[in-house]
Amino acid sequence: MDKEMMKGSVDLLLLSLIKQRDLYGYEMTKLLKQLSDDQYEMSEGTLYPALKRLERKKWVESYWSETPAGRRKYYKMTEEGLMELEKKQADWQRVNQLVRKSSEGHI
Amino acid sequence: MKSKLEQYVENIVRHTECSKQEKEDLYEELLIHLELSRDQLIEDGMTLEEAEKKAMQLFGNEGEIGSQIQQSLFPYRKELMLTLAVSSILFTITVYLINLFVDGDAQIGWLTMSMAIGAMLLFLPLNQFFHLNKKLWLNSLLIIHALAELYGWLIVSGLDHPATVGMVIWDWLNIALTIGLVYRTTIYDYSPNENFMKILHGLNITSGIIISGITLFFLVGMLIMIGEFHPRMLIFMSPLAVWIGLYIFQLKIVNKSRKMAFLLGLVPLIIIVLLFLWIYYPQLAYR
Repeated sequence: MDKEMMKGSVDLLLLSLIKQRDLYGYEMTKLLKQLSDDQYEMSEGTLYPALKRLERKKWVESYWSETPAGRRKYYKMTEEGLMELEKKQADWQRVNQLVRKSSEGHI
Repeated sequence: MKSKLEQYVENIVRHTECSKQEKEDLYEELLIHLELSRDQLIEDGMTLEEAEKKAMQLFGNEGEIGSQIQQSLFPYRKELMLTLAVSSILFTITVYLINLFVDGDAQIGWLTMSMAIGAMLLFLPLNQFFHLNKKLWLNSLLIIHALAELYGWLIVSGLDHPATVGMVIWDWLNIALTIGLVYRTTIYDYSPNENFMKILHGLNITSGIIISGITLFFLVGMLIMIGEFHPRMLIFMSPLAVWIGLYIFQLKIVNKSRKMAFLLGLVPLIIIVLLFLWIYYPQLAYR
């Protein structure tokens, strides 16, 4: 997958994942790899700057939790994050539509 | 001995300017990720050493990720510091040269001092190895820098040159950026649940700036009137000393009693307001 394209959509990807359930960092990279059939090639570490940014913007919140396998830092969605996600999804749809229409020969 | 993964994570965390607590938190979070990744790779059939190496490789370059985290946490901090450093070094050289050409004589002491401060401002944000209570160092440096720039203002206002107005504006822009950065390093860098500390620091910095301003005003006034420095003039520094003492004391007791710390933080501001009232509306006191 195109790395630049991935970079632009990392907020949308992470918010979409966290919306479904609270997740910790390693889980997110694993999910992204699985869901993309191992096409997701971003370095795992780049996830954390993105998460910190989302947290600073108050779109997600983090908390430590004790699991049977050890301590994990989970991220969960906030109200503001939910609104932001809806906005980003709408934007994504628009770009998607434009790409499709541009390649369908409407000119 | 520290494992390779621990060293690796430490290198990442070193690139950030978080508080100690935030650093520990980040360190633990990243280390857990790498350990989970390593365990998975071992399960897939790698030896411990191979798995550690691969886990780090998958995670990415330490410096890059550390800097990205820093940028996410404190956007534009580095850029602002560098702008300030370059701007103040250029300002210093310009003032020195104009002073030299207009008066045929210039203040080499100020030049050296101001250049040294500028160089340190340039050095601090760029280096990653010096992080012993960095916030305190950064703020002290910024305050000394503001004083040097104030002195620069005195030099510039004494000059008879068409560039003076522009230079004064430039100087005050530098001072404003410096003060802005002091507020930012002290207040902005707290997590949202430490709102109280933000208010406390905000109160203290504000009164500190006003008190330093008044103190300097009197000191310079005395210097101009008397014409030479006299140790007794240091008495005018006493409000500043009281302010520093109060500030330190508040930080000591804040964990025990927030109310008390807050009240103490208000004291200098209340005194300042009363003083201004007394100076500008003396009739209020004698009614």
